[in-house]
Amino acid sequence: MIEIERLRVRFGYLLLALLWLHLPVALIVANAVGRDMVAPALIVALLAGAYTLSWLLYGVQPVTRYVSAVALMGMPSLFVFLLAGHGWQMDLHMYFFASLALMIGWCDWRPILMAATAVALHHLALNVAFPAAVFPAGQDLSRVWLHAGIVAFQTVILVWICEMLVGGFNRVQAMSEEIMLSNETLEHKVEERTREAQAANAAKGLFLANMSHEIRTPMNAILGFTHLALRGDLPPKQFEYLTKIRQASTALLALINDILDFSKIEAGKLVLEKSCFDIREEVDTAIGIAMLKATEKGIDLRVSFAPNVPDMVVGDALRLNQIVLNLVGNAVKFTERGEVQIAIRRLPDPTPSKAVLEIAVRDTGVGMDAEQQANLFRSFAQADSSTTRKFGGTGLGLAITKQLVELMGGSIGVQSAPGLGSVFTVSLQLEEGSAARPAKAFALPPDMQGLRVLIVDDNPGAREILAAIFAGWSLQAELAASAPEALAALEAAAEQGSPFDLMLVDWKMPSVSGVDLVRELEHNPKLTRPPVALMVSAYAREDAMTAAQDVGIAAFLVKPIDGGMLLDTIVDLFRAKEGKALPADPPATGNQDAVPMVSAGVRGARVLLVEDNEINSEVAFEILTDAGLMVELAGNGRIACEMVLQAGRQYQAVLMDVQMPEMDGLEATRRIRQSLSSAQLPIIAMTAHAYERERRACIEAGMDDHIAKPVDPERLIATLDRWIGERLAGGAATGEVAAPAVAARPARAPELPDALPPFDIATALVRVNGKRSLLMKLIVSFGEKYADVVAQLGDQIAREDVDEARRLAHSLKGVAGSLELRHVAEAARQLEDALTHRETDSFQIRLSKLDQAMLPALAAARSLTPGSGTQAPPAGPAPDAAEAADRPVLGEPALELVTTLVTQLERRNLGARRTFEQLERVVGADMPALAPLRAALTRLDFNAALIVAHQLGDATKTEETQS
Amino acid sequence: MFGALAGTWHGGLPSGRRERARAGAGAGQIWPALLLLVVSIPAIGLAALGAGAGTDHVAVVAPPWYGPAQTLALVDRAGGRFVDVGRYGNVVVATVGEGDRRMFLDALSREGAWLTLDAGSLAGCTGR
Repeated sequence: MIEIERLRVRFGYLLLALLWLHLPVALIVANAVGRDMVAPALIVALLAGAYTLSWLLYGVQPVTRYVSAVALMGMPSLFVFLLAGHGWQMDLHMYFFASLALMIGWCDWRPILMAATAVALHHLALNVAFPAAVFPAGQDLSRVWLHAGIVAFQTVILVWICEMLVGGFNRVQAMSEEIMLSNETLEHKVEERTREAQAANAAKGLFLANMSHEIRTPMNAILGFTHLALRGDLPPKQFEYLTKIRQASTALLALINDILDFSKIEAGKLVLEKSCFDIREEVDTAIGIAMLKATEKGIDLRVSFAPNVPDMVVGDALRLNQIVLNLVGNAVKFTERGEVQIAIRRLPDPTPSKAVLEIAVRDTGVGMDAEQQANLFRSFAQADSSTTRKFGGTGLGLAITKQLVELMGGSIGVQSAPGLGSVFTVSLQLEEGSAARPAKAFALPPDMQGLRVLIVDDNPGAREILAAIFAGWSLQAELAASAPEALAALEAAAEQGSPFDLMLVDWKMPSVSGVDLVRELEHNPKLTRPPVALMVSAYAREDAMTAAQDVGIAAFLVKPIDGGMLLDTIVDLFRAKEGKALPADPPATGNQDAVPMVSAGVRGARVLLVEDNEINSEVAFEILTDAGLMVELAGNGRIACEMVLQAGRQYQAVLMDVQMPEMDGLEATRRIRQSLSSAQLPIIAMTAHAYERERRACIEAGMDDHIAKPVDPERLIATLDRWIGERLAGGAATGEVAAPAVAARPARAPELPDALPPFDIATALVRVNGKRSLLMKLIVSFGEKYADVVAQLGDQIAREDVDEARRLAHSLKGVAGSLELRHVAEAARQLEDALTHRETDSFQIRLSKLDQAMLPALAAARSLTPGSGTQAPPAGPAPDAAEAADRPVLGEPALELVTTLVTQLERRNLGARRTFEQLERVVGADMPALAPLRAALTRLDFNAALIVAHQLGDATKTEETQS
Repeated sequence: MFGALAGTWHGGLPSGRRERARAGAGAGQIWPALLLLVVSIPAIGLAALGAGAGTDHVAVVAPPWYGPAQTLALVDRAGGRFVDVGRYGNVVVATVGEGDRRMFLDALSREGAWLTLDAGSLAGCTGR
């Protein structure tokens, strides 16, 4: 309802009350002047009743307004004449003017005029008409005219004011409507902008996912080949370069992961997982990673858990690990000397099932002022934002940490002062896990319950932590703050006849080091039975370990001490001492470049690797075969389906890329799952997509696990080991599994010329870690696969199948780049660009340029193909003359199989493997002549296999001819 | 009750109806008011000008066919005294003097007077 209508409605109510109020007043007046009361009362009722009826029927419409004017003007008229002859009669005229003025309440000039008319008619009738009918003399109308003039004047003024009022209301109404319209427009605009923003956000997400894929694919190659290269014997310089490449690549990958995490959280796409985990283990894992840097900088890193922290909690272990690692990593980064303490305690919470944990990370680093603290949790901001800052980093770490903490229903805060270090405090809402902590971590074997333990450490915090661990095993350890104090305690205990059995000693202590203390114990005449010494140090340095070993320290543990590890070490030490088992060597530092192998039971298992990218395929092939697996390759989902479904479930696992031409990994998985369940064939996604939704899509399609590229070899092998191991344990093992894959490795590398223009062999060799055989295989494969690539591209362009042509050009560009065919790579790139931008005019020119570049490359590649005449290197383990002499004659069925095999090998058909298996069954798997063929097929060296197959067939034919 | 009715009729008046009412706010809607005016003016006149027990001088209106003599005879029969003549032959101003005014008015009515008005009130608001 518009404002003016509201006002009229309210005025209608007012008039209703006012008119009926005249009834008692009229009765009082009539009574007071001695007049009959009935008639005035009836007249008031008539007037007020008429208004009431109209008001009820028509509301505040004009008809009611007019009626109200007549009714209201009747009232003063009645009173004026009731008081005829009374002194107040003239004074009551003011009531006419007041009533007339009241009419403005309708905000309508017409009732005002009606009221003025009613006043005039009342006066004419009662002052003129009635008296004139009675008295012959004329009336003195001068006063009537005066009154009429005043009423007319008032009426004009009222009409004018009324019009202004209505005009004002109309303007307000117009403005209101304009504002409403403007609001509606704004709302529409906001909706539109919101949609645009959402679309932009979705595009950003997609872009990030794509970028992630695009970045991770080459990262996979970099990390993978670096990993492979580092396995070999390398000159120190090259080893150093490669190590640095690996470090830089790992850092770059961490950065990419940070950016992805951040964008995922920003987009609200990060979903926290809920699983039961051991909080101590997770924190220790994170601290273990930060420990390396802390050790390098000489910083003491200590962790303490309050006794009220539950053993198992339910939450997202990975993200908790990330939070702790970020905070501890930062603390180590900004601390030059001193220590970093991590204290975890449980905060009280009214809900018993909830475990609100507080993680406080205290450092003695550079600290921050208030302004720096204020900017601390903002994205891309660092405490020191100057270009000359000392500490690097993207500034995303704490922003991500804060967002993760908030996702976990917690908060993060910091207390710091410049030069005094910082304390970051995080509170997290987790749930208390129901699963009990493995008993192993708690229970000391009964026969060791009486051990007497001495802890020697100059750091009171460290002593406290170790003592708490022993207290957890119901062992009361004694403490010593220095070597002399420890010596005194040991001597005293020996004198009392209760010598210590175990001594945990810190390496670095003031005046006398731990090593010196142990050395001294050996020569101390008072100690007839020195305790077993176990060195604990924050410094995992080689010299410390060597020194410890030299003086006979039984074990060396690196801080922060994991209770479980300490327990294992102690148990091992004392069991070994009692002659039960296990040597007491200090734990060797792991060689991270060691070849990751699958467990013995899984070796020889057959894995199908489905991957379209040749570089990725090569990297994975090498890692998998080195791990002891037999690997077969499929270039896309369709081929994979054929191989899996036709092979009669001969694979123990499938590693599946997601994005592939022709048929992607998801579709392929769905098809495979129609025939084979997860229990029969685990399928593991191996993709550069790092988004959670991609992982979910893989799982929904029927895959069992997901490995993100760049592939971490250890993780890849561990995952395969687990899945294949589970399957084999479930009774699905086949006889094939027992065949060790490592035996299939080639005995010697095929030959490759040092120069083969236009291939830059020297540079290409670096790419494949100097593996000449691999490079040769790649070049031969290139020559065969891309022999008619120009014609293919021409066809595709002619069919206007530009996308397919672009994909082929892209693939060619990548392969040519890897093989250091720079002209071909460049020509392919130009063609790809032209295809991408639909520059149809330049297609033919680009194609012709590519053709020119390809010709010498193909010729060079063909020169490596056996039987080409130009050069025929023994591409595989070709049998020598003696072997040829011993070559068996095959029967008819076997010969047919060999012929089929040759055809398949020539076509590079992976069905060759099945044919070979049939051949093995026909002639016997133990036939020596089949060994080189098996070896060549195992590593998918089709060229070598073809040579051997030809030789097998030729020998039989020769024999038949001779006979 | 009024509130509820008002809520129905006033607050919730449909906008279409309101528009029609506004559009037809001219001559059609004025008639009820004019009717009320026509009814109320004589009613007020009669109520306010009618003679009562306190009326000193009564304007006696006899039937229109009465001449001055007949009207005076009517007043006389009612026990009143002539004060003044009116504009028409059937109208005279009379008084009862110290007699009972109420009984005088009743007698006038009985003798055939149509109206008995307060002659003093007929001076209207001019205060003559």
